[in-house]
Amino acid sequence: MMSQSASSLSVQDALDDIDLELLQDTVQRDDLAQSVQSLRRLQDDARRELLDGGAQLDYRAVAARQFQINDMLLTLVGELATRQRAVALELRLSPGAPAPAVDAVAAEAGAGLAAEADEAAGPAERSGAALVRQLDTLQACMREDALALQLEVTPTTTPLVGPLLGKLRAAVHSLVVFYSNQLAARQTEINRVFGGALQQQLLARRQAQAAQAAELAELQRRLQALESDAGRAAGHTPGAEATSK
Amino acid sequence: MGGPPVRRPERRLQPLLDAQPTTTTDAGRAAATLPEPDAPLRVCLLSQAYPPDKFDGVGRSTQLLARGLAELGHDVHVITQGQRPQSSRRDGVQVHEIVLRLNRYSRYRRLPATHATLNYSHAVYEQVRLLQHRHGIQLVDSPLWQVEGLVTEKSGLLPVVVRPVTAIRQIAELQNNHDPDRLLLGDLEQALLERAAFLAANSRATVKALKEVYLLPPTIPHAVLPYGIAPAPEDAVRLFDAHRHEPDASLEVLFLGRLEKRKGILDLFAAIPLVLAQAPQARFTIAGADNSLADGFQARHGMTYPTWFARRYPAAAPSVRFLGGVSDEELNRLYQSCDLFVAPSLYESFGLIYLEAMNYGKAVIGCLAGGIPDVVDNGVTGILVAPEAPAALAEAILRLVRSPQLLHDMGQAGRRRLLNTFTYLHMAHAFADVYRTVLRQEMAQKESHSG
Repeated sequence: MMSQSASSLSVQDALDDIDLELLQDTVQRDDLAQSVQSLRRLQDDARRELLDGGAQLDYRAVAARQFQINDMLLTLVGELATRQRAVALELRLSPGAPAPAVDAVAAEAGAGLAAEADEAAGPAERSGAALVRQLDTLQACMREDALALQLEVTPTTTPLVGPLLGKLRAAVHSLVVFYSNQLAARQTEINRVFGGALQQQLLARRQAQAAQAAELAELQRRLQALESDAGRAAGHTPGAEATSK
Repeated sequence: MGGPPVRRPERRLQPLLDAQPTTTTDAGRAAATLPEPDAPLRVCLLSQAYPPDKFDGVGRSTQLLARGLAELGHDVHVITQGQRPQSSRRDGVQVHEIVLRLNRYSRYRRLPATHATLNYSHAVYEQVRLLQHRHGIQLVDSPLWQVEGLVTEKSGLLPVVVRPVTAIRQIAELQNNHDPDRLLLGDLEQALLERAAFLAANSRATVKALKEVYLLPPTIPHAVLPYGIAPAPEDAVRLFDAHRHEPDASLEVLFLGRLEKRKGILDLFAAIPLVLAQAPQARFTIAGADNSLADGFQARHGMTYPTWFARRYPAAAPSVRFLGGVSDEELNRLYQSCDLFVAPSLYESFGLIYLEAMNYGKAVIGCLAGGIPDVVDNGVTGILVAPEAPAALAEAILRLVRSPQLLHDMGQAGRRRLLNTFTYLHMAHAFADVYRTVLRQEMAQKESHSG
């Protein structure tokens, strides 16, 4: 179990932290959808380790692990922002392309994005749709009721002092649960912000891709028109007429 | 955020490591090609300190190993710490300097040594990844000291051969140091040792100490590969001239090492007045940085080692000079010009300093401790005494100071022993053999995984 006390940090903590830092590297390097998947697994493991074990709850450990997850979410958001900027720059550099209003696009993001994404045909779009679904799942598993703890006190069978012990335990546990739930509530707010940022980044990216595709189609249309004009012009040159005669 | 109905994620019970492509075990390791018996190897050596900018025992031995491997035709890279990221070629070796940035592992800030160690080890891993990508590095060789290869080993990127030296836990025990920062570093050393692909120990004493201190399981593959140094040219060797020596002429006794208890400096201090009482012609030169702050001496006595000596033994002080830290050139000059070399360390994992003195044909005095008996042939190339025994140390010094012929013969025998066994090319050959063994084992493991 983790603790904030420096003297109680163990070698296992250090080895776990090395794994987490390596995971951060993976988030920065690898496919975003895979990164979200890895992050979700990490959170599941953390939840299992911290909340499902039946051991006494250490809310400092809960907070420490949550901060680690926050760090990784920040990395992920940062990476998405970087990639979105790269796409925007690419569009801006395209000759004749209109400046993409990414922020406005992101602001118009609606709730039916996941369903819309499923209709997309290309592999990139399918990957985006999968990412949206994973983000929704991520958001769902971070809901307040998922983080909130219930008071559970095992009834004691000790005669006479049993009820007194039970009351004492309940009092102690309720204190721990109170502070943990306060943390969970704050964390939920942070999660909402993260989730919103991720969704906006994703929408902006999709919109940029759509703009790029439209631009490409327009360019293809213009190229075809030019080619047919050129073909017609070649058919009416004086030299061509003389030869045909 | 609005959206589709809330779905709970399915529970995943597999360990965290399963989710990380870069932290898988052997099966996930980057391609380590099986080298042909004589094909050049592509290896990366780690050493936080590396000459000429910084050097210590690990730095010097790493430099010589790298040079030897390069001379044998292998592609050798070294990762070391520098002021700015840069690469340069030295002695046929590509040296990559990386910068320590404390931008990770923030919850270890209150354990500054561990914090710096983890961050540096991670920076090493990032550079190794780069080298593996650009140069196809097959294997990493890390000193145990400061666990530089720990993150690389943990990532599973490449096999890591570990060169154990004196363990931090040993030093902490010698210094009675219970600092949690040191203790955690000791635990990290143990973690690296347990995960290493191979332990290349520099002496039998190192293996024994690691087994005792870290309770290593006997299954860990290991071998004793002694350090080696570059032989000085014959014309630089200064054997003691027993025939021309006048009985009352002064005799220069050299001590080299950090001024700290572990190096036996207090025992030498206590022995000096005993020697001078019977051989007033002896002169002592003490070279090495004062480490009284780090080893707790200043906290106990409120002064440095040289000041303490001058106050404790004022009559002997005129016969002793303290040089502080010295450059490589000055060091070689000191070895050349001394008549006798003394280093009564309480423990040395190997004892490179004795080899360096033997290189110039000097008789040496050390202690029956650690790897020193592997280097110094007691009674043939020098004299070994019990550690922390100033009277026995004084007696050994007096015995040699009074016998010019012995000074000459032991010096000559030491030089011969060095040339026959302890050159950097001997060392490089031995390490190359180990690297090939490790790569073969890696390949066999991969095949068994895939099969």
